Amino acid sequence: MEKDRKVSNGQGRKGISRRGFIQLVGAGALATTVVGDLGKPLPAAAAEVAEKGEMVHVSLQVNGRRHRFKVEPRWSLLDVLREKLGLTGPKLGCGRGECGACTVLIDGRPRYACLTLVLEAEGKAITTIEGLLKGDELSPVQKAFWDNDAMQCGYCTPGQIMAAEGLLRVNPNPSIEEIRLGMSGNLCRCGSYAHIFKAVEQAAKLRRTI
Amino acid sequence: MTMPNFSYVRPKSLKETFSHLSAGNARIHAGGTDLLGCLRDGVFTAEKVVSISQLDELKRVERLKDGSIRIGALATVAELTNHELVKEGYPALAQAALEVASPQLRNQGTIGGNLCQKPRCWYYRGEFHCTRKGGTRCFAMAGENQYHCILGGRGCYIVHPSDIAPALVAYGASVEIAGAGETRKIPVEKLFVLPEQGITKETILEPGEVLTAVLLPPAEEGFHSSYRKVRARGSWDFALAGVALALHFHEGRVAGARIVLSGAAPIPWRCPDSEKIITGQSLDDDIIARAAAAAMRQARPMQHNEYKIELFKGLIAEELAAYKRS
Amino acid sequence: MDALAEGIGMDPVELRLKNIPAVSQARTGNPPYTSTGFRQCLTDGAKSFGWREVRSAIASSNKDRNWRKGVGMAGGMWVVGGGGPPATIIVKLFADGSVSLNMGASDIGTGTRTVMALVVSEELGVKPDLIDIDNADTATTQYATPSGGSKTVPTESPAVRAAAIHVKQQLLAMAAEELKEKPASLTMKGGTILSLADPSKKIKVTDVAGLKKQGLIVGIGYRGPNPANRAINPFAAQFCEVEVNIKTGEVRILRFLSANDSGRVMNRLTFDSQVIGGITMGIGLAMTEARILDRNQTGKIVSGNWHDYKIPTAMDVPADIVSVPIDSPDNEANTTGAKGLGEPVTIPTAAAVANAVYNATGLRLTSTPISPLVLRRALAAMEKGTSKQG
Repeated sequence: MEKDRKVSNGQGRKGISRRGFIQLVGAGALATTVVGDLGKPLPAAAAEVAEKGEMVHVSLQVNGRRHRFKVEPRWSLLDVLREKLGLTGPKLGCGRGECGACTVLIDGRPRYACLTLVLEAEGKAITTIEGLLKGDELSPVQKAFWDNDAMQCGYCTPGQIMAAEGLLRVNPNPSIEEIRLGMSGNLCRCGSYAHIFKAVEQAAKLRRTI
Repeated sequence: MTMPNFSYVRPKSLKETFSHLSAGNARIHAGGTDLLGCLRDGVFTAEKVVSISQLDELKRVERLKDGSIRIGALATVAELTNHELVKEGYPALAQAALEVASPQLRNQGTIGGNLCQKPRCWYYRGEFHCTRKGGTRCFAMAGENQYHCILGGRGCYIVHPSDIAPALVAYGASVEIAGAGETRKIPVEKLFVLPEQGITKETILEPGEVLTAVLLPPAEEGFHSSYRKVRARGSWDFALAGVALALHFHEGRVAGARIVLSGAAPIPWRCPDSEKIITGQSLDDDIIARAAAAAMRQARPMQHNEYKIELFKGLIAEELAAYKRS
Repeated sequence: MDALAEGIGMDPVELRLKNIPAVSQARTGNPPYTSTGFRQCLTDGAKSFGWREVRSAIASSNKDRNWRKGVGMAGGMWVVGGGGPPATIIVKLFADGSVSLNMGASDIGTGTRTVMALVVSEELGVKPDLIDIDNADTATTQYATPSGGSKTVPTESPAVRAAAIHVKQQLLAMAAEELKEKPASLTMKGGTILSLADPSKKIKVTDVAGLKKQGLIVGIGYRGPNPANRAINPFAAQFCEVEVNIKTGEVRILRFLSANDSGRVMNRLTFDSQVIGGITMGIGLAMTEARILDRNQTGKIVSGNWHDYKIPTAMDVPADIVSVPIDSPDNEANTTGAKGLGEPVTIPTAAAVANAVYNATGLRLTSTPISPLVLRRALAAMEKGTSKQG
């Protein structure tokens, strides 16, 4: 079911998970983090630490390709996808997990990129709507949304499509009630749900014939 | 609001976690769904975010030798909805998990985080300096209190937001709490605190402690359970009223009962009077009506939430009635 | 209306059928409607829904159940929806047969671009995929009124047709010269211009020498005025089936049907999208959405986010939403026969739900949202016999 392309050098997720991401800092830097501590000495370089406001390296696997950049620990995955990678498919709606416009797949499961710290996404396979295209060819879910006019203004659509993609990867043949439940984490203010349900039904059929 | 600055640490073991948590104003990041929203909205601050998300030792769901189930604190809510061990033996837990938030949040949120989440009172979450945030006033008392508690409030009138917690209380589940000192095991029922016991706290967890696992007692023969939630919106909504039932039947009579409410009180609310009424009885309409009424006897509604009394009575009655022939 | 129908013992559809106005009762001088498809909305809608059968069968299905079924209907019209000037459109036909449509109006997702391409296609016989649309760009397009009020199609589409006709007139004049015919005796069919009298006399659009030489033909279309002393309004009738839990006050909307008269159906798929969108928003109004102020204390909004302001989710709308278009071109209104759609759909929705809740429970609710908060409270009052009106 997992269609995320593996990185080309054949390394699994574990293989890239630690690389260059959070700096291992010395005990001196650690001590600054824990000012006001009870005074217990911490083991040197005990853990991966990113200081407040500090830029640290992160390595992300997005749409089958690995990317490296510097981030602040407070940045969300959505910030990085949009601002650093230019992947503007995932949208910023509410920024607090209440709308679903930022939905991406993380290890094949739909999640909110706005509520995921970029440092938490390291080592995981991330798929955005841009990753569903094969060249110029639409994926079955995208095609089905197109065919059924399952959108109006389109702002929520990339998130809707990723939620549908995630649903169909786990459940390739969903009932209408399973579709409603699977799509219940994405608001559509234009009210396209009924066409979205039809699109997901059609996408399930299209996926089976491919 | 933009995300405030914090330092971030990802310990490799629980032991390291405890030492990081002992620093001033450190917060645990498990799934992060509640933490990040609270930080962004300024509900509270954090100097340091301690991410336990990669501690594999907290992710296991397993059956122990004595037949009980141990669910690591990092098991996701989505896992609870479809894990065979949960679905088979603890349907109320699986049902409750499916009622949580949205599919995406269930994929990310954890059972530990669900139990330790902050309340959803709109004054607490909003720009109001209320008693729970260290202020002197509970805005819900004279304000918009339609979603607030009818039981157990004093100085603060939140409802506990978890669907999972009442199901766990109904099962008599426990949690494991680990810290720099000894690991404690306490019933879920004793995990939560009422406002009168600590108005700025929701759980008994001390700074530096981590909820590491949930323990469910072995499922027994003749044991039935369910969770039902009434909400204003079909997804992504907290309970207006919910009821978790765990009933033990013997020869057509209730041999043991736990009735636990969500959406009623600042903690998952047990109904001991109702439990007593049905215990030893075979369920009929009269017994059911008496049990439902008893659950609300102590209720003290405010201006806008008196509807909850009849709602709970109706809900409890309906849920108990489903067992009439058990 | 529903209470009135019940009071006189008449089916609410019947009551409306007996009272269909031919003139606007709200406007000065009571001008007649250019068209009203309200009768057809009611009859076609009721028939597709199975109104009579379901309504009479439903009472007996409710015995001894906490979940009580009910059906409800309501009618509605939209105060605007006829559109009007100003609108200015520029259409260019290029020598290769492709077309550029330049329009100030935006497409906010309602299918405006689709509809306008179809109008050009119909007038010039050009396939829609050869039509390039440049719109809603203050640098390259001209002034347009906002896309709102469900008036974009009736405002813009007549101007699009006028611009296309302007192109056609110039093209036919060129072709007439080459074919030695009068322009009036020529017609266009699928990229070819032919003589009405002698169809063997023909020329492909791309072969017209004048067009080749000139490179392109520019047509400008303006939106003319609406007919004087007439009211142009879209109409709708909606039907729904609900299930109400009388113990908890929960409502499940099982299915919805909307019959809409918006003049000519310009494009069925985007028409249906407007209908399901309107019903979904109407369900939000009926069931979940409420802006809540901290009215007794600070005056601040407490529902200022998407959890506390509850837009309906996929779980709040039925999959079974049926659109029954009453496809009757309003040729008196404008040159495309279209009236507005979108907002007209949202008008009867909440009323239809409330009427269905009444049918299920006997509770007449006249405010929204009909959440368990409100309904449970009203059910309690009814049980105590203190109020029949909620």
